Amino acid sequence: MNDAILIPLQVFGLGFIISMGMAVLIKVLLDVIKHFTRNGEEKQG
Amino acid sequence: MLPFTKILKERQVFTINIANLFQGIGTMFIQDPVIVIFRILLICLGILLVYLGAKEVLEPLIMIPMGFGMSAVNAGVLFMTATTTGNLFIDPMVTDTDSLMNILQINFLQPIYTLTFSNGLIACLVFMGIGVICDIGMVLAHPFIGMFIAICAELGTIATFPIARLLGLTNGEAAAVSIIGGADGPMVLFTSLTLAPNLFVPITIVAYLYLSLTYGGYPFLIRFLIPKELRGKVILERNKKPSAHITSKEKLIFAVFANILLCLLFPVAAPLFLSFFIGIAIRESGLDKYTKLIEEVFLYAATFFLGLMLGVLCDAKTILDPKILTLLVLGMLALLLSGIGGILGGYLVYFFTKGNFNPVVGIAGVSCVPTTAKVAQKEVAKINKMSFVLEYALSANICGVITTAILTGLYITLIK
Repeated sequence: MNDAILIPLQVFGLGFIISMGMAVLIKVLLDVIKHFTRNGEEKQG
Repeated sequence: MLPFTKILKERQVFTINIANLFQGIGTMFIQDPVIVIFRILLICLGILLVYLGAKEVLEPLIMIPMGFGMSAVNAGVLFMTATTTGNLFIDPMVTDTDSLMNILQINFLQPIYTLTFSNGLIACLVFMGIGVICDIGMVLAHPFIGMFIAICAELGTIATFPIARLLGLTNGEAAAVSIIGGADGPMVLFTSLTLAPNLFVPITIVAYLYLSLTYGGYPFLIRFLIPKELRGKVILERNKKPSAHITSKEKLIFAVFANILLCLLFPVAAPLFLSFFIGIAIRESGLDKYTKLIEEVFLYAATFFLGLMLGVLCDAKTILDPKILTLLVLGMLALLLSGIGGILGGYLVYFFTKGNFNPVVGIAGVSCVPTTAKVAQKEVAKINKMSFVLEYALSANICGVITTAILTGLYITLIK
């Protein structure tokens, strides 16, 4: 396929996957932080 | 024939004296007429930019220094030798080390150009400032909506590339002009310096000119594409953890991991990622002295010199490129398509959430921080003063910065 079509398709495809991957990373990080925070609070309690 | 030129024609000795005495005017009589006309046009354009900046029609922080630089560099042309002309501001074409060391001691803005512009440092300093003023909590509160709208608002960045190739630009030039669709000045500068150094001046100027116009232009696009009843839509709270409850610790941890991940994926754009995320980290760490330093000194100094440098780089000889008209059309197209893509993304989220969303937020996916977010809230408030979409708009806005950086990394990696 021509470069002029292939390059933007690759950029969009990979960009979409990485961007949504970042959103998943945010969710996972927030859950992990919440988990450790709760554990810490229980130990203190 | 004008009396002045008649005198000049009749008295050659007098001509030489006048030309040497007032060289800015004198050079106009020995340069190519096309360049002379272009010089006069650029002096007038510089005056216009200062006027529009002062009136706040265009972004004054960029346009006033740019207008001054543009008019000064085209007025202050002098004889370097008997037959060649130049200026004492800057020479962007110097490449060999000996000439560069020589010119660094002569041209007063050359050190700033050589040491901060051509290596992308000035773009990174602006990006660091953007990191400091961004509240990443908005992104953490609505990550999927923000990222989805932001990637939709990259339509201009994607769709402009094949059109640019069709119009005869190379892959690098097409990518650099396509990044204008990402609506992020430092990113355009960084990409064009890396992929199209021969066209980085006109591409960056086109980008900043159009970015200044988004505040005035995008409201019309919103009104054209979104009916009145949808523009006033209130978004009912669906999130258990609104941005006000995202802690600084969570934001800091995200900044650290996101920075490492993106640097691992795109080492070519690592300076941009580091600058942006270190700005966020400094803000969230509560380092007030650093925050003040970056926000009040680095960001404004970099913006001032960015405007001034772009102005003085608009020398008629340098900028007289047949591709300039193509770039003007493509830059406009990229930002228009990105605006349309963002609004389409807003509509898609509206349908996914069964109507619990305001599609106007889509325009904020175009990452002109925080201009497009303010445009979205302003347009919504005109219809319904009880509808507050700013949190979602800022989420899409900051996600737009991240997605544009990702696309920049992808373009540079795939093309370089």
